[in-house]
Amino acid sequence: MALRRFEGKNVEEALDHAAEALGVERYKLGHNVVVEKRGFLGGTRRVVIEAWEDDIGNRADAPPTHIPPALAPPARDARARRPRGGRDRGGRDDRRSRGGRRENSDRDRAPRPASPQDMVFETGPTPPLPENEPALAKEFRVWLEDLFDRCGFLLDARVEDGDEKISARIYGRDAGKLMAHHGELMDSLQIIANKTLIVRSSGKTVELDCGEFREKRIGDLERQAKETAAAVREDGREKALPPMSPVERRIVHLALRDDADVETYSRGEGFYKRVVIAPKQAGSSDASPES
Amino acid sequence: MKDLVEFIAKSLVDHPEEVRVDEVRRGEATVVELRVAPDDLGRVIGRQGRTARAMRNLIAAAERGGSRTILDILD
Repeated sequence: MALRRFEGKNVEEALDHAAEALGVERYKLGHNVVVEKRGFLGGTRRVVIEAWEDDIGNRADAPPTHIPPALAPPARDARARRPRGGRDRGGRDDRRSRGGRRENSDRDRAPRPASPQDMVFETGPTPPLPENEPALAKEFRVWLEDLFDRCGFLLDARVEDGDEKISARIYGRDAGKLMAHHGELMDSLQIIANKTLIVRSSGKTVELDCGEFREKRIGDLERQAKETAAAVREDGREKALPPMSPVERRIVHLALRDDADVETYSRGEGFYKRVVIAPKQAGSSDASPES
Repeated sequence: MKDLVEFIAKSLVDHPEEVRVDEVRRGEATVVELRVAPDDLGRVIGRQGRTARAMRNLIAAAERGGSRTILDILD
């Protein structure tokens, strides 16, 4: 398999481009950084990576130094059972023993470099369950925790049943897995959760959150939008941000709504829809400074 | 992985009793074949394959070491 090269402002963005071009999920990609150019203010301005689809049966293709984060087994100590603290687990223990948390022989392999998946994301302790957990909240929480168990994730959920929204907060030591790659897995979970019969029949929508994930992501997107807008202003050429979900695109549009020099629009379809930041058309010929 | 796919599919569809999941080896990979009632097909695939993609994401993350799992949705 030939290694193709991809470029981006940072490794994350280059990986996004690689995932799009190769048509595979991002965390199935292995990569090596080829070029890393520094900007004059110290930040990285351009990164070139080599990326390939990582396939366990095909490891010979991958450079030997690389261990793909998504496929490598979790470090042994990270899997050590968290004390479950005598909370009510909603009668799930029978299920857990039936399905069984498959023991992974790979776990005993040599340690590997830290990867985003291993990030210990501090969510704080799981709060106790409320005395009178509403029926819908309980039903959804049990479903979510059952799903986590079946995925082998050490995670708990606490659910609030609001008027229009079911809000679930996720706690536990595998939270970093949900957060990796800008919360790719969180988004997937939320898509699935919103399509479940439990949620559909309630007529509400589910929002998942974990730590300060949503808040941080909004901040990150706004920062990315402003940085890209500054670059557009500088060289006068439009730039496209990586593909984003509708919610994320909206955050970008709003962040630049009042920008005098650039305008934003969406380009593409479906998963690959992205926001383009372009110099404002009006007045571009006479470049009038008056607003 | 079969259990996981079955669990997710059954929570998505209107006719959980018609969910069938089979596991087949295909070379290095394990293929999980999912069959649902015809009018539930859209539920497991989703608009522009969103739901199917989300399921594949989750499956990939739940893989522990073992062989790679491919989700096939059959009609």
